[in-house]
Amino acid sequence: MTTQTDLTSRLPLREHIRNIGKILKYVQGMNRYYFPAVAAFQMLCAAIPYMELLLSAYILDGIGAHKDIKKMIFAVTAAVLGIMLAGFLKSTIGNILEVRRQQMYYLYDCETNTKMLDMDFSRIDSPQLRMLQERIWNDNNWGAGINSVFWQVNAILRRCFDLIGAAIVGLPVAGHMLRTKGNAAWAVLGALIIVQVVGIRLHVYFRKMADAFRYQLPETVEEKEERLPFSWRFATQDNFTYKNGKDIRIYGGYDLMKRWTIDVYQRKGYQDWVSKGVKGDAGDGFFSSMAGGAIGGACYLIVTIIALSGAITVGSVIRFAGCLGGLVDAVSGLFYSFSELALSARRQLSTLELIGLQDEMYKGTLPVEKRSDGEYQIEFRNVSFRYPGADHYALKNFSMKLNIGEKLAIVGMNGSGKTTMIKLLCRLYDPQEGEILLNGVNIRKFRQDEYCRLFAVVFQDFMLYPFPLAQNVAVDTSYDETRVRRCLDDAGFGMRMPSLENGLDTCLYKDYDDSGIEISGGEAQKIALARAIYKDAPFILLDEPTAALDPLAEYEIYTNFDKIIGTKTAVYISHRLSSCRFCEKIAVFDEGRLVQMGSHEELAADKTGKYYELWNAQAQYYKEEA
Amino acid sequence: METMKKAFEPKRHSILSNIGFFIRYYRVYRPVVLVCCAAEILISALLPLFTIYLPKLAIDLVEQSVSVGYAVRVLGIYSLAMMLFCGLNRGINYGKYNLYNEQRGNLMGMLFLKSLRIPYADMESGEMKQLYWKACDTVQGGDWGASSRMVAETVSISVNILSFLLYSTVIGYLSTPMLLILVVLSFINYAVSMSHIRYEESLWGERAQANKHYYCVRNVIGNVQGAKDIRIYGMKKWMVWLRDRAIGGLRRLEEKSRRKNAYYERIGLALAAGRNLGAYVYLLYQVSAGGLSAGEFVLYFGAITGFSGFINSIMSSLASLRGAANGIDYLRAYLDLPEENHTDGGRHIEELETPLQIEFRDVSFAYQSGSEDEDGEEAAQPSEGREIFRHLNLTIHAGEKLALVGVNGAGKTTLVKLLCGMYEPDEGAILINGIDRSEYSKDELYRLFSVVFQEPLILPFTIGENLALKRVEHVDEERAWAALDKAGIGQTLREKGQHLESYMTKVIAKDGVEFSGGQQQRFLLARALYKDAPVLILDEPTAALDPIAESEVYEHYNQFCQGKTAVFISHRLASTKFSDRIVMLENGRIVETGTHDELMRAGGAYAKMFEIQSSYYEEAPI
Repeated sequence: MTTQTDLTSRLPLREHIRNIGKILKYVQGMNRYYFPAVAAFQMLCAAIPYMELLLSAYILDGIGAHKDIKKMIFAVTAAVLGIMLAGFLKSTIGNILEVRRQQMYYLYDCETNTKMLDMDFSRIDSPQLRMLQERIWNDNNWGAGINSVFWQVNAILRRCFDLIGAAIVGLPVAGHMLRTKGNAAWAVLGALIIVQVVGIRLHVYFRKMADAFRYQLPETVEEKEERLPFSWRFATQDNFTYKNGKDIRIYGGYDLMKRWTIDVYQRKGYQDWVSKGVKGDAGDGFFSSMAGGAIGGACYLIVTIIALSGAITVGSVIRFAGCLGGLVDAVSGLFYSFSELALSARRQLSTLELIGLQDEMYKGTLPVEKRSDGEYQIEFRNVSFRYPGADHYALKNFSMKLNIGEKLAIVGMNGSGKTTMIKLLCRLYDPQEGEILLNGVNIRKFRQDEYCRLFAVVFQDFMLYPFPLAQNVAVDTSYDETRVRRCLDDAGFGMRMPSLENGLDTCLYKDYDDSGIEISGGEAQKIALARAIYKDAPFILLDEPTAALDPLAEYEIYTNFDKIIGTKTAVYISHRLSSCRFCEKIAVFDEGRLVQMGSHEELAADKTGKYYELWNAQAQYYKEEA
Repeated sequence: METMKKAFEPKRHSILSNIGFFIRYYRVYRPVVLVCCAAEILISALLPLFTIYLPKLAIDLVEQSVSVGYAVRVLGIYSLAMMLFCGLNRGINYGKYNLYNEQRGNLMGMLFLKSLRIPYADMESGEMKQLYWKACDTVQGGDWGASSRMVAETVSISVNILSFLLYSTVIGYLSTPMLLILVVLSFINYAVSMSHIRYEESLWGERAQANKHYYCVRNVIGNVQGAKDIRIYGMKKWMVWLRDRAIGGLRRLEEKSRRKNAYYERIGLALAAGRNLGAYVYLLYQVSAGGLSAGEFVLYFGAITGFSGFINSIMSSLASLRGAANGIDYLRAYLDLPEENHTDGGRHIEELETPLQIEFRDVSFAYQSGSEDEDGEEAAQPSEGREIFRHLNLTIHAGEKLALVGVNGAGKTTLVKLLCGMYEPDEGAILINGIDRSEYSKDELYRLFSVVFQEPLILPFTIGENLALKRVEHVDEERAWAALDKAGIGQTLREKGQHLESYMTKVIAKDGVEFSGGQQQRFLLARALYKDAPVLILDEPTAALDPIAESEVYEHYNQFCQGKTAVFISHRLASTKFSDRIVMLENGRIVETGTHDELMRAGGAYAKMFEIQSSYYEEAPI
C-alpha cells in the first residue's frame, strides 16, 4: 500500500503521461464525441474575446482617423451580430456537452459498484477493495484525481486556443517591439516573466502544503483521537439516530457522542491541523492570483512604452495589450495546468487501479450438464479453507458428500464453519487445500454462471432490494406473474398480498419509492425464501431461515418445508435444533470439522457426542418437570 | 401531537434571515470567517474598477505623450497595487475555505446530537425522519451543499451588489439617460433570469426524485452485503438495467433543463448584443461630438458591458440562495425542535426504594401515522396511526422477574419502550413506586433502566467507552471488569490481551477488537450489568447465540437479576421457566398471566405455543 504521505510527490514523467493517456482512453471509451466537442467549445470560448478585442481596436482607430461614423456603425452592427451568433453556437455546444459530461460522471461514479457486481467475491469482501474505494473517494474529492484530468484537459485546450488567438491577432506587435528603441519594454517583459515564474513556484509550494493537509487522513490512533470527527458516520446511518438512539439515551451516551462529533472540532490537534491547511490555501491563492494580477498592468505598460515611441496607434494599444496579456496568461496558464496535473498524478492511480482491476480466481469453461432428473452429487474432499487475512482455518480437512434428493441439516456452535461450507459450495471462495467435486469434476472447471444456477440459497444476511416485490422474487424485470405469486404463497407471504395496493409492483422499503412498504424481518425472510423457490434450482440451501420468526410462524414454515423443497437436495442450517428433525441426516460441525453425521436418533444416542450436548442445552428447558 | 399528522412543513425564512442564521453561527464557532468574508467583499468589489480603468489610463498616457519614465512609474505602481489586490482577494478566498467548510461537519454533528435530544417517538415518526434527512442533505454535497453555498453566495452577491452601485455611479457621472437605459435593461435582465430561476425551481421535485433513484440504485449495487445474493441469483443483468434506467432518468431531466438553459442564454446574448450596439453607437456619437476622449470611450464601454455582468452574477447568486434557503429551512426547523425535558422535574431517583414496582395504569398508546418501528416487530402491518394498547393495566411487582411472550406484532417491544420512557402513553399513566413517571426528567428516568435491545450498538471507540457509553475519563475500571466477567466476556478479553483502552472495530485502531455474534451479545449484557440500574430489560438477548451460549445466559439470568425488577422477552419459550410470572400479549392485550406451570395447566394460548415449540424436543434422550 502506498502511504498517503507521498500523495503529492511526482510520478516519473513517462509513467504519468502513460497514466493520463489511459484515463483519456477510458473517457473516450464512454463517449467518443466528448473530446472533439470539448475542443470546439474551447475554441469558441477563446475566439469570442478576441473578436470583441478586435472590434474595440477597430472603433478606437476609427475615432483616431476620424472615419465616417455611418460606415463605422454599419461595421460595428455586423461585428456585434457576428459575435452574438458565435455566442449562440458556443451556448448550444456547451449545453449539449454538459449533458454528456454529467452522464459520464454518473457512469464513472457507479464504476466501482458496477465492477463489484461480478468481480471475485473474495475481492469484494477484502479490506483492499474497501481501501481502494476510500482512496478513490478521497482522491477525487476536491476536484482532483480523475477530475483533475477532466478539468485540466479543458484548461489546456483553452490555453492552446488562446495562444493561437493571441498569435494571430497580436503578431504585428512583435515587429514593433523589436524595432522599439530603448530597453524599457524588454525590462518590463523580463520582470513580468520573473513574477510569473516566482508566482507559479510559490503557488506550487503552498499548494503542496495545502494538499498535504487535505489528503493526509489521520492514520495513527493518536491522530484519529485528535482529529477524526464521527459526525458524518453517525448522522447518516439511521441505526445511530433512531435504532440505536435508544441505547444512547438509556445509557446516557450523549456526552460521549458529543466528544466524538462536534467536540473534535475544538480539539487542539484538529485546530493545528486546520491552520496548516489555511496557511497552505491562503499562500496558494495569494501567489497564483498575484502573478495573474501582474499581467494586465505590465502588458499595458509594455504597449504604452511602444506607443510612446510613436510606433502604433491608440487602437493598437488596446489590441496589443490584450493580446500580450492573453499570451502571457496562456503560457502561465499552461504551466499552471501542467503543474496541477503533476501535483495530482498520484491521485489518479486509484482510478487506474480500478479500471485495470482483473479477477484472480480461475475461471472454468466447462458447461454444467443440464439434467432433468437433478442427478447431481457434491463431494467435499479434504477441504481446508482460511478466510483471506485470517490466521485460523474456518474449515480444516473437511470431507463430506451430498447425495441427490437428500435433506441435510447442519448444526454446530457459532464459528464452527457452517456458513463457510455454504460459501465454498457456491464457489464464492476457492479452498486453499482439497477440492470440491460436482459429479466427480472439480467445480473450478465449470463456468461460474452455469454452476451458480444449481443453487438457490437463503443466506443468513440475505438482502432484498427497494424495488418491486415481483422483481425481488424473480431478480429480473420480466417475470412469470403466476409463478411469482405461487412462490410467495409457498413461502408464507401470501397473507400480506391482499393488503398491497400495487400488488406485485409494490416496492419494498421507501428508499426508491415513497409509496413502498416497510416489511418486518420475518416477512423479509419469507420473500427471500420465495426468491429461492422461484429459482427452482436442484439444490436449496437455507442458512437460519427462521431466525426472525416467532414460534408460530416458524412452525408454519416447517410444515410447508416438504412441499417447498419437493425432491430437491436441501441443506439446512439452524441454531434451533428442533428444526433438524425435518431432515433425514444431520451433520454436526465443530471447529471447522465434520464431527458427526447421522439421523437424529443415532446422534442423540451418542451421549459423548457434540450433538447430544447441543441438543440437551436446548431441550432441557422444554422437558416437563413432572 | 395533532400537529404531526400531516407532512412536516418547516417555517419559511427569508434569504436575509438565513444569512443572519449563519452570521450567528460563525460568531459562536468561527468568528474569523466573518472577518474574512467582510475583507473579501470589499476587495472583490474594488477589483473590477482596476481592470476597467487600466486601458483608459494607458490610452491617456499615450495621448498625452508623457515620458517613458513617467509611464513606467504610473503604470508600475498601478500594477503593483493590482498584484496586491488580486493576491489578497484570492488568498482570503482560498484561505477561509477550510475555516468555513468545517461548518458542514459541525452542523452534521449538531443535527445528530439533536436527534438524541428530541422525544424518541418523534425520531421514529416518518415525518420527523424526512425532516431529519432533508436537514442532513443541507450540509451534504460538498461545496454544492446548501449550507456551503450560503457562505459563498452571500459573499458573491454582496460583492456584485456593491460593484453594481459603484458602476452605476461611474455611468451616472457620464450620462443620466445612459444610466436610465441600463437600469431598464437590468430590469429586463432580471425578469428573464427570474423566469429561468422559476423554471429551474419547477424541476426541483423531479430532480430530487431522479437523484433519489440514482443514489438508491448506486448504493444497492455497491452494497457488500448483497454480493453473495447477486452472484448466486445472477442479478447483474437486473442491476445494470436499473442503473441505466436511473442514469437515463437523470439524463432526460438534464436535457430538459439544458434546452431551457440554452434558450435563456440566447435571450441573454441577444440582450447583450443590443446593449453593446446601443453603447457603441451612443459613445461614437459622443466622441464625434467631441465630448469624449478615446480613453474615456474605453472606460465607459467597459463600465457598460461590465454592468450586465454584475446583474447576471447577482441573479445567479440569488437563484442559488433561493435554492439553498429551501434546505436551510429544514436545517433550522430541525435544530429548533423542542427537546425532551432533560433537566427539570424536581424529583430524583435516589429517593426511590429499590427494587422498584412499576404499574401501567389504564395505558393507551397508538403509533402516529407514518411511524416505522424498525424493530421489525411492529412494522409487520402498514402503520397508519395504529393503536397498540387500549386501557392496558399491568403491575410489575418489586423484584419480580417477568417474561413477556407473544407472536411478532403482539406489542412486546412497544411495551418495553413505553416502560423505559421512549414512548409516552396517549392516555393513562405509568407509575414507578406509585409516582407518575412524568414527574421525573428523562435523564433521571433513563437512569432506572438497563436495557439490552435487539439491535446491537457497538461504537468504534474503546472497550471502556462502549461499556459505559461515557467519556473515557468517566469509566470505572474495577466495575467495568466485574461486569465483563459477570457477562462471561472478561476472560476472553484478557486472553486476547485487551484492556479497557483497546479500541473496538478496526475504524480507529488497525488491531481493534472484533466480536463474534455471541461475544457481542455478552458484551451488551455486560453493558447492562455495568450500569447496574434497578430495572433490567432483555429483549431477545439470545437470538444470535448457539445453544450452549444460550443456555449459559439462562443459567446466569437469576444472578443478573439479583435485587432487581426484570423483564425478559424471548421467542424461545424455554426462557420463561426462569421467570416468576409470564405475561402473554396478543394484539396489545394481555390474554394470560401466571407462572409457567399455571399457564400450562390452564391450557390456553401460552400452552399451545409452548407445545408447538417443545414438540420437537419431546422425544429427546435423557
